[in-house]
Amino acid sequence: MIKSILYVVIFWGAPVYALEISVGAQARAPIAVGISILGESVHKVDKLVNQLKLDLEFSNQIKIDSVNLNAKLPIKEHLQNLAQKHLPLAILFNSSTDLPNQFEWRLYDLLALKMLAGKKVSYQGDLVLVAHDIATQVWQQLMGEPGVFNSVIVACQKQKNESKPIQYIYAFHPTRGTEFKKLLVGAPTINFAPRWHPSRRLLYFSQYTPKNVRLMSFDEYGKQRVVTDFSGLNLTPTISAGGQILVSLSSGGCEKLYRYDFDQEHKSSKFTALTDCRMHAIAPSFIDEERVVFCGIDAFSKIPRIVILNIKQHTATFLTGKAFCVSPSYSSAKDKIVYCKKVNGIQQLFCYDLSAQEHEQLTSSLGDKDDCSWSPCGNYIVFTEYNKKDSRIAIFSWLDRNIFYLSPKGESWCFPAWSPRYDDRLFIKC
Amino acid sequence: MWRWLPSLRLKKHKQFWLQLAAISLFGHCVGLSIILFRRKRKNLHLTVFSQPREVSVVLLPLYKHLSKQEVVKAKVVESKKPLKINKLTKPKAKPVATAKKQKVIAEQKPKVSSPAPKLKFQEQPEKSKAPAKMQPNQVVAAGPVSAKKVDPASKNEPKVLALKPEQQELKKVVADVEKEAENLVGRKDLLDLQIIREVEAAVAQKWRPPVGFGSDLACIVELEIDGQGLAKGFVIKKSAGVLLYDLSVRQALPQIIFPTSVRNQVLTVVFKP
Repeated sequence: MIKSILYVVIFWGAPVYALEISVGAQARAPIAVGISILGESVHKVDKLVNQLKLDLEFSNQIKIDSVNLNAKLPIKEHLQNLAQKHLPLAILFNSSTDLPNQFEWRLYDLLALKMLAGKKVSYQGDLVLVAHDIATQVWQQLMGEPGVFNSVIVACQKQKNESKPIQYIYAFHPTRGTEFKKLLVGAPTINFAPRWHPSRRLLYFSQYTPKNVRLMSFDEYGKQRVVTDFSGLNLTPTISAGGQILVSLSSGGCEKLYRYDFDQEHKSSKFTALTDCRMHAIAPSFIDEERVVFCGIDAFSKIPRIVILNIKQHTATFLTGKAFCVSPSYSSAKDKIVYCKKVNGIQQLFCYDLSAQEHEQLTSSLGDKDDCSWSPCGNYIVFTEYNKKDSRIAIFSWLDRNIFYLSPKGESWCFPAWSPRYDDRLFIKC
Repeated sequence: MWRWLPSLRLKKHKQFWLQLAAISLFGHCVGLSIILFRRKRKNLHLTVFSQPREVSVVLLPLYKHLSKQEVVKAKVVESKKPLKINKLTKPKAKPVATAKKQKVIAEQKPKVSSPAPKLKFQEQPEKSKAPAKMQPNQVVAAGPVSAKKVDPASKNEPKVLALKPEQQELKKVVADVEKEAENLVGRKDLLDLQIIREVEAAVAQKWRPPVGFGSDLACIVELEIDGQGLAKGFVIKKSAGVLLYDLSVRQALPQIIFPTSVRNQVLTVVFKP
């Protein structure tokens, strides 16, 4: 009895230590995902799989490790086979459904052998669009946020072999590049500086005419309308979340920011100048309802700098010192402003963190960077890289801090603008 | 239970006192064991950097870290003698960049539309992040991103622009400060540090999370490690909230061989990107 009590006291009383250790990762690798197609692929599923691969591998966080076509095993056995290959995730397509234009997809967690998501898809037309939809849903499951697979980029391309300078506006998908572009504005003149409406499916752009540069809009039905047609330049509108509209207009060689208001009483448009002729103000971008960031050239330094205008307090704060800085763009997702600054004679991407109030240099490679625009998620910045012979559309990824190109060498692209919403692919279908 | 007691041939009152002493002893043993069991060792909260750092450690055998609770418990006895305070003049910190005086330019009347407000110009001193973080960008793909091939032009590494002299100076100062910093640790801390280094090395061999996760993410896993150093079982105590990140942890755990210092123990590991 005593012995047993002693044993209980000694062993039960012995403390069990619980260490807590914090470990940081020292290497990075994408998560491997397997794709399998069960049953005979009567549909052109390979096209879908290729696009899905492009979409999911876009961020370098996922790698499609193996693609099994015509897998005929029962699903459970097939999943176990994939799990033995150390694949943590698998996407299964089952094309053996009754209807011809229908298939089913499922996302499996192979470590726990459970289904995470799945859906029956009926489609008509292009399977690429279906692939974007599936990629969006898979991404939502894995990352808890929508991917950029249903957004588009618009940019201008200078046309070769033309007697006069002509620039068209095209739309393309971020994962497919300019190879699969869609013409949006093909007026035989210079069309440039496209800007998106933040909530409505509208795209604004400026267009050269014999008398001025007017501001135009392009809606979801493909209709183009004149927005402002003042003498001089009508450029780069910006619209806040609350609906305030600012536009950069010039008259008498002075570019100013104007707020647009609609007078309900007199049923007329009213433009109120927010800046004056002591400073040229172009390329505004709303931060919030009070603040706007823009590129300003003041009469003293006579070089473009990044300025924050407080509309209520009527103050203009220079963010950058006396260095050549252009093309600011604000991201609400990151609460950061990206801009281009000349360093050793080359324009590089810089970022200003509004909360930390710190500037950070993002790029250091050759080629002048310009015309920055944020992705809706804030993980990517699309910009133009100007070289001696060409200008290319490139993306800077915040995730791995790498640059990749969307347009080939030898072509002249400029003014990229990433759509601010996640569903603009439906609007433009590219 | 008390059959052996009469064999001692003691008087009744002595038997009673002996019984009382035995019961009291048993009670004390049980009580003490409960106290010992309940008294858990404090969990270690040490941050391990993802990049290897040269940190010099000085061992002070009697050095001990005090937790906040211990500090509160400890009584502060104020000495009656007044302390001598040497007057030290606080050195004035030199500003990195002097802010320029605000220039207010006289209002000019607008030419085109309604009166423009009086706009004040302000200069904000430029504060930049530590230049150590600046890295040359790797150019990944040429042409459409789908190709994901290395740009022929980018085969030659992009030219890294030289740091400005003031940035170089700042980098030098930061390096010097880091070099001079010494961590004072006690015996217990040193032991824990050793364990952490071993565990970190073992984890780093197998755990490779994807790129792009913020430093605020953390996946806390409680592990039971067997004699072979393998995770016998694990429970995710707190998910990172991103399935892909949790998957990278779950995928790595069965492959990690933990060091002998933590074998046959329960371990809580915080996986930070």
